[in-house]
This record gives sequence, structure tokens and C-alpha cells, in this order.
Amino acid sequence: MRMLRLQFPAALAWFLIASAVLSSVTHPASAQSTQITVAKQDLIQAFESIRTAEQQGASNTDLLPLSGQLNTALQYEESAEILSQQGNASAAEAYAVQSINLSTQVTVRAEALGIQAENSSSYQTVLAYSIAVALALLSTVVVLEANGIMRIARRRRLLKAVIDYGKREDAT
Amino acid sequence: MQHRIAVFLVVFVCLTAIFSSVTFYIISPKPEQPFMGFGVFSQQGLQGYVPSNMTITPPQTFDWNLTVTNRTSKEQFIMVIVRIGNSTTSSPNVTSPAPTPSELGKMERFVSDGETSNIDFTWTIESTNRTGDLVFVNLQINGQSVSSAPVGAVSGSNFRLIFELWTFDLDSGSFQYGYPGEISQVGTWLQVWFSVSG
Repeated sequence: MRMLRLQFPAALAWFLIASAVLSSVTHPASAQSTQITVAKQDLIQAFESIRTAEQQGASNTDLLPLSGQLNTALQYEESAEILSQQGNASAAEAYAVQSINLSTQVTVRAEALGIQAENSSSYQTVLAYSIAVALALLSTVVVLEANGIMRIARRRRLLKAVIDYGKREDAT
Repeated sequence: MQHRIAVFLVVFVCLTAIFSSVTFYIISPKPEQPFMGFGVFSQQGLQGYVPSNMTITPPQTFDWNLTVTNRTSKEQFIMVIVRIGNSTTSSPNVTSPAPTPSELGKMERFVSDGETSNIDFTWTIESTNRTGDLVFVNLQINGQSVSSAPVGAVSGSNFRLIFELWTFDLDSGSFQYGYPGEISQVGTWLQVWFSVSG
């Protein structure tokens, strides 16, 4: 029993030391690979948000710079991957973080452009159909009241006309 | 009076239908056939369109350009897979890519709708290994060293560089061979023949 009591703290100490050593060895690698994984996921998310913005009606001109930024983020992510394979963990992490930041910026901008385009598109649709209904109303009035309009026009012309009583020219 | 109102309503409804149809036609996006163009160019001119037309003596470097044109009305995330083959390797087709062991490298890009993306493709044949009659080549593609093994060519003649276009599919979360056509994926690939001497 006494032996057991002595062995337990020793085993616990060994366990704690071993866990500390293992965690210090494995932690940087796992953190670095996590950053690269996040960078990859963020790239896809940014791509998805550009697609959504396109569906919402955002113009190509607005989205083109975002695509350029996304390519830069992709280059950072690829550099991070190469550096990670070469064992340069800190540089890999720095590149992965840059990629994540850029992808996040693209996502935010694409979402804003999408909402803006959607609002503008709804407004334009409502305006276009309102003009169509207004034109239909105007045309109906013109078609049905053509005779009346012409009569009024004729009457106005008559009213405006100068009454010519004829000139009396005396022979000299 | 009631008759006049009825006539007015009938004419108004008819004209509204006509004007709304015209508006719908004007504001609706016009249908387009989606396609993606894929090309390989060299400032020195490409000679490998047909077998036995381009012979390389290692070490030799080539600076080529791959161009990808996107006319799918959507942003595309593309990947170009570079493979090596010989005269007996099965080629990709419109539905399936080439067999996987021959992959040398891949390049990824985001391409906007209506944009043509240029991808630098610098490759060097550094040396050759001969095993009996079969010749294997050691290459460098965009700075990465790779070997053609297990693909070799008899006496080093009629190697092929095969370029396949893949696009990212958001639904499956992976790259799919070809680009999304009207009905299904449309496989797109290119090849350049070369022989190695020495």
C-alpha cells in the first residue's frame, strides 16, 4: 500500500512531464496546419460569397478587383503550404494569416456588393413595371378618348382662330 | 357610364399585359451558352501539336503560358492539372480525365466571368534516366522537381504533356474535371508532344 502511495505521485509527475514535452513538440505544427486549413476554407467561403453576389446582380466590373484579391490570397496560401513543407512554420503561419485576412476582406466586400446590387435590382424592376403600367394607362386614355381629344383640339383651334370679317377695300 | 368603365378596364388590362411583357423581355438576362476556353502558348511558337515534331536535348527550359477564358456567367475557381504521358497512355476525353499516376503538378486560379487568365508555365527537362529501352525524364515545373516515373517512353520518343482543366464545384466541395456546361460537365484538355534526345 505504501509502495502504491509512492508510485502514484511519481507516475503523475512523469505523465505531466511527458504531456508538456509532447504538447510543446506538436503544438506549433498543429497550429500551423490549422492556419493553412482555415486559409483554404476562407478562400472557398470568399469564392462562394462572390458567386452569391453575382446571383444577386452585382456587376462584373465591381467583382473583378475581388477576384484579383482572391488570387493574391491564393498565392499567400500556396506560399504558406510550400513553407510548411520546408519546415518554416513561422513564415508559413504569417502567409496563412495574410491569406485569411485578404479572403475575409473579399467576403465582406462581396456580401456588401451583393446586398447593394439586390436592392438596386429590386428598385429597377419596380420602376420598370411602374413605367409599363403608366404607359398602359396613358395609352388606354389615348385610345378610348381619341375622339374627345380631337374634338377639344379642334375647338381650341377654332377659339384661337382670328375672326376675319373681310376687308373692305374702297376703290379710289 | 358602366359600359364605358368596362371598356376602359378591358383595354387597360390588355395594354398592361402587352407593356409588362415587353418590360419583362427587356429586363430579363439574355440566354448564353456557357463555355470555357483553354489554350497553351509559347513566345517561341509551339511545335508539339503533332508527335515527333519537337525534340529536346536536356537541360532545356521553356516558358509557356496557359490561358483560361471564362464565359460561364459565373466566377470560377479553376485548377490545371499537368500530366505526362507517352504514345500508349490513355488520353482524357470529354467526360473523364487521364489516369492519375502521371500527375506532375497543378496550378489554381480564380477567373472572373468574361476574363482571360494567363498562367505562367515554366518547365525544364533537367536529365533523363534510362532503364533498358525505356527513358524517364526528370523535370522541374514552376520550380518544383518531379520525375516522369512510372511513365517512360521507348528511346525517349513521343512523350506528351497533358493539361486538364478542372473547376471547383461548391455543391460537392471539390474540383470536378471540366467546366459546368448546360447539361453536364464538359471535359477540356490539351496536349503537347515532345521527344528527348541524349
